Amino acid sequence: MTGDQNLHNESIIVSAQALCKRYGKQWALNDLNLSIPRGSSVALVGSNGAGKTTFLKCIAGLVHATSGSISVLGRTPDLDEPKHTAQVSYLDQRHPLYGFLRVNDTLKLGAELNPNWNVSESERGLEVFQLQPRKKVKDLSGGQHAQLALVLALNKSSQVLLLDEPMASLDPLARTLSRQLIDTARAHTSLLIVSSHIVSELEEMCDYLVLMARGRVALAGRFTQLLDSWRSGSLRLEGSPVELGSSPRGTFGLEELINNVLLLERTSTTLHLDGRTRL
Amino acid sequence: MIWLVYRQYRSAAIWTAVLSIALIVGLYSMSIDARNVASVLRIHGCAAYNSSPFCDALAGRFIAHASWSTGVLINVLYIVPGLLGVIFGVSLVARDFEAGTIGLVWLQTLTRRHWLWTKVAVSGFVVLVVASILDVVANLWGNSIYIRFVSPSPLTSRVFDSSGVVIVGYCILALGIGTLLGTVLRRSGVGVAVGLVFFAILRLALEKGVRPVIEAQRFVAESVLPPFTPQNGILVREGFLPLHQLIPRSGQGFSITSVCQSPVQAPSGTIDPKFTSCLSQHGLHFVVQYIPNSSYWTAQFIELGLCVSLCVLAVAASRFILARIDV
Repeated sequence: MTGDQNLHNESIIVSAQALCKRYGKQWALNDLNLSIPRGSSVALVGSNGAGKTTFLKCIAGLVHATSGSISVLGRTPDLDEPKHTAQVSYLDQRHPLYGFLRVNDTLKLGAELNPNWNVSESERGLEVFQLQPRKKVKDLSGGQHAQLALVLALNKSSQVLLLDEPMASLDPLARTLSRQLIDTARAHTSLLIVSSHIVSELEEMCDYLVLMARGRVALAGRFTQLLDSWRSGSLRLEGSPVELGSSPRGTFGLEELINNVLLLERTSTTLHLDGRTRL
Repeated sequence: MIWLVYRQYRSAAIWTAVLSIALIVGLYSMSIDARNVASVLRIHGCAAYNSSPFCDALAGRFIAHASWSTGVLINVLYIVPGLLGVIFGVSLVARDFEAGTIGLVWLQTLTRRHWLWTKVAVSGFVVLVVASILDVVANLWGNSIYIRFVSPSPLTSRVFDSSGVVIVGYCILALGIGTLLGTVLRRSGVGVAVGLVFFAILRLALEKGVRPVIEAQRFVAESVLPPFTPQNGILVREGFLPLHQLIPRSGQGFSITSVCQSPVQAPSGTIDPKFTSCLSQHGLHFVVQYIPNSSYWTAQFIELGLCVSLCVLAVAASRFILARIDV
């Protein structure tokens, strides 16, 4: 193995090889292959049930693969390995928190259980969202709940930051504030993966797109490269060109690209999507 | 982590403490009632396990007057440790699954092993404190009366189960069963219901299957029939008799009444002399199998050890399952 190869392998933060996950008879992930290099900010998109959450949970170690393999920072995700749990932070889309704790107790929990906890940033997070420290978590609104969960996830100071629908229940101002906090946290991480349906926000936070369909990667690459390929008509899925659709020329943005790919995937029952799996 | 578990169980512990205090007050008032009855009947002069006709008669009157309070006392001690252990055990794991916080806590920098054993230790401590207080208080105030005047021996199952250190053992066992079922079912309500059934079955298996093996038994030959007791057992001088058998010279078992007339009790409480002389004429004697009272504490500690071992196994099984669960 050459030095260059070593350098290259070390630069891969997440690597999934033929990753499959089955729940009963349903395949949530089906032969997923993807390698994500250090320093990436990845937008994970796809229709409902495409396997986005399962993939994020596989990276976090919360879900075990049925077959195939996945490695995070060179190790198989293991919740019994503090080296893994210290380096991976995951925001669940349901924002689970302990309702019996107060807001400040929730941050105390983060500080108690995480050696690299960022005290100043977590306090700033409360100030930014104007969350009352003495308020019980169970008395927070849905949006405030999401904000507190985000603060808890962002300030663990881990290398891998996984955010599943971080802004789904936030008002426009809270979304802007959340983006600012995520930007700050991103500076200290090696990898950010955000799963969301709000494409405009993903464009602002991320550089790469991973589009999932039927449990595998349909399309992967830099936003700019994918858009250029699409606009030039060279973007193909299993030999079929991704049409430009009816959008007026000049408004061919990421959202239109994603919609067109998803439409193409939906109209074909046998289509095998063969997007690039290396970012 | 201890802080988190403390916060998670704080309200449950407070409620448990309040209910325990209410229970202790109730037990105390019932024990006063039982003691008053014992005092009025003046049965304190009867030594423990004294089977004289006078004391038997007083015990009968005591039962008639104080059976309700002593019965409640015994049943509380029989039921509460298991109930407490199962409820706390099931909620240990199931609560985090139901609230969806399992993924949150598992992705902090602590292992699942650490998480589980810390929870078991902290909640086990709360449950043990409550069970121990109940045990001590009830034994001091009421159970001793019951044992002395109502039950023929501390080795009878109901008294054995609700006295000594096995109460603590059952509590630990119930905690282990609850933890395992909370892990498997991940639902508190169903977990508690199934856990109680499991606990009852396991306890019955211990009582009927294991306890007779661990209680050292002795055999003596008696030339006369020992007196019967109201508990369908037979008292011997220093223990409780679960089984007796009439053995002739041939070694074959047969019915007493086929050889001698039924052992009619004389008014004094002794066996009819005609019956005993009939037995001696035929060269008959009883082989008496009994459990000596001295084996009480040995059996108690062996059963405690079994309960603790089963609890450790159950928690280890939970740990094994948790390591394979998808969240």
